[in-house]
Amino acid sequence: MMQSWILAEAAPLALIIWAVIPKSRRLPEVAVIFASLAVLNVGMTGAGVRILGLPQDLLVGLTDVLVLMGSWDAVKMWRGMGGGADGSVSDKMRGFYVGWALFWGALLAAALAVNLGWAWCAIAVSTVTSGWLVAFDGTPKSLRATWRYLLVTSVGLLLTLLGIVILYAEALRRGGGLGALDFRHLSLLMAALPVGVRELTVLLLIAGFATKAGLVPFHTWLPDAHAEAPAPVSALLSGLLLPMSLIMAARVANAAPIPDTFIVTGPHLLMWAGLASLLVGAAMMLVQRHVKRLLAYSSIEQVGIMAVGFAIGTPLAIGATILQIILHAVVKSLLFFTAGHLSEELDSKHLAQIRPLAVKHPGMSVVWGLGLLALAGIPPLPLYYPEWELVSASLTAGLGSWVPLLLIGGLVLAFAVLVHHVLRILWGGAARAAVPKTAGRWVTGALAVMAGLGLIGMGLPAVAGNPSMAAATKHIVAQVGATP
Amino acid sequence: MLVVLVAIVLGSVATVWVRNVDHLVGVVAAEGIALTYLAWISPGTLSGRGEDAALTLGIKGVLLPLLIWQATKRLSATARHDAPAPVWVYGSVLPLLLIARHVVAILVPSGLLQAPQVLSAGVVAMGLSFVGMMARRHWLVQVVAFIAVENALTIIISSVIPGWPLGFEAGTLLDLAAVAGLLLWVGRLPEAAPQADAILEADAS
Repeated sequence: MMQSWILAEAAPLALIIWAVIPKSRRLPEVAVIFASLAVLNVGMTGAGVRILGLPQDLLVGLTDVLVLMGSWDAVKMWRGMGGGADGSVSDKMRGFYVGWALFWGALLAAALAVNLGWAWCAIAVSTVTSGWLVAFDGTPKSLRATWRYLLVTSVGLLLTLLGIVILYAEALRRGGGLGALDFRHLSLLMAALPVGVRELTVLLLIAGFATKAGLVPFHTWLPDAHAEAPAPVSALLSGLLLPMSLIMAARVANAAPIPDTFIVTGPHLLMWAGLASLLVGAAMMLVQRHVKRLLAYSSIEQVGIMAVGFAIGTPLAIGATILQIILHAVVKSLLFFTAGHLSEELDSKHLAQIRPLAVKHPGMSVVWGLGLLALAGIPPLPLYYPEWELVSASLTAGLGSWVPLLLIGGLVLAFAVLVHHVLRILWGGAARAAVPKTAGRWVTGALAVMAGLGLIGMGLPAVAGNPSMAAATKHIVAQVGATP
Repeated sequence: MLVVLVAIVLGSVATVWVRNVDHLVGVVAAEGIALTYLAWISPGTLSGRGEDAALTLGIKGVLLPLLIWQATKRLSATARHDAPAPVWVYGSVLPLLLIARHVVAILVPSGLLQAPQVLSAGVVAMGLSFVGMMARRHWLVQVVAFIAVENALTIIISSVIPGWPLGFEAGTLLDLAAVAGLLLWVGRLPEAAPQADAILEADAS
């Protein structure tokens, strides 16, 4: 275990050291190299083989891949800001990469944590470090967004801490210690608590993690923070931090055996917060006029879908949710990078001013359009598959008619809103001349990723039926804690 | 112990009541000193009580009040006054007392509680500070209310667990460090805040 920690954290640590060395050069490129080495390490140490065997491996692998994608994008971001082309490193760049490496390290620590207490500490550190990155522009808007982010999520984390305090007190009373907060023993500890105390504990823990995951009604920090952060940071926040916090909430929810007569069980809380997030996120997307706020509300909608999947709790639903997390992370990261480049090249973050994108920037318009359609769940772009599986799971899990109805209604609404945005952004507004295009290679790369995702989408039904894949999924589902 | 509880509850009341932000420096310092005393009289688990007390005094009793004092110095005379809290805030006191009573009623039979009165005071203080954080408009009052929430949390922890691993407290201190960093770094926020509010509200609409 210790070896995994050291190996995983070596790359972010090396990046911090490189960033603080006074005469270091080519920091953005070095960040890409370190992230590549981290991805290579995930493969070479066997985690690549075991990647579908444990949630820790899966999350570490996903973190390193997304950090690599973000580091690539950051190279272009810095070039766009006029820095780093000659290899020189400004103080501002050093500050960014120290924050970037710390955030990366905190995400890896959260991914590797097998103890609720240490997972909480890692998530707390990720809050501080990502707060630094959200405020990086230093504009009044970004500072206010950071303040709201730190304030709301810190209160959420305090609620979680209160829940952990109660669990820890019970562990002490039974002669245990911090080890009792291990995720593998959590259900034993929960079972030892009187029902009322357990209900209170679950409420506190889930409310706190739900705040960090951006679930309604605790989502107020999310649109501002995602909109104001630099694009690579928004990608990590949306693709990793939200689902990672949600996985913590799911593990807590599934660890607490509470009689069916109680309304405030973990799965119930996740279910209603998830459905509310799906509906609110989809509805709010319709009225967005800011490129990244549109993606931020889409993240709320997507996290809502994932929460419903964890709440349904059957192996089919949890397997589909894990797949949704991976695919959403890749698609949303690509969309945040695209949004960053669009804002930079068209000199505006407002949807009205980038229309008609198909005329102004045809290459980017294909990436943007395909990305939004992927989020909408159009086949063969791969997100259709886990969403279809989730709908199937909701119909077969014996949850009554309300849950499938609301889930399908939310998905249809999100689909309609996203298609509306695609049509409006690509072809709406008065036609104007195309702008000089500087992102040719970037567009080619993004389209290659999209094509790869399309192929994955086409192959998913066949791969999911494969016995070894089914066995690996079963194992991971057991780790997250599905209802038998 | 009674002195500590009174200091924490009064500190939370101040986050709702006080309009001159200069006075908040004293509130934060008083709460920090009260918690230092609590750390001194409580048994430590991973660390000695002397270390806990010194750390608490250094961060909560000295560093944070100093940072807030520095921030207030940058404000103009008019910017040092916050609008009064809305009327609904005063109406929230009774529900808070009922919640505190309910939480204590749940926890007492479980045998987890070391001191029910301390938990009651902690829950009321936390609720009041939380209400202050949400209801007050001045960013500095919000910072102080947030610190008061964390201080109330420490009281709650002490009512359930006699000794508390320093690792978890370090996590809480990281939040405080974020607040401290923000205070140090964004000296321009007070002037920029109304403008930023207007921009964000326009965006949201």
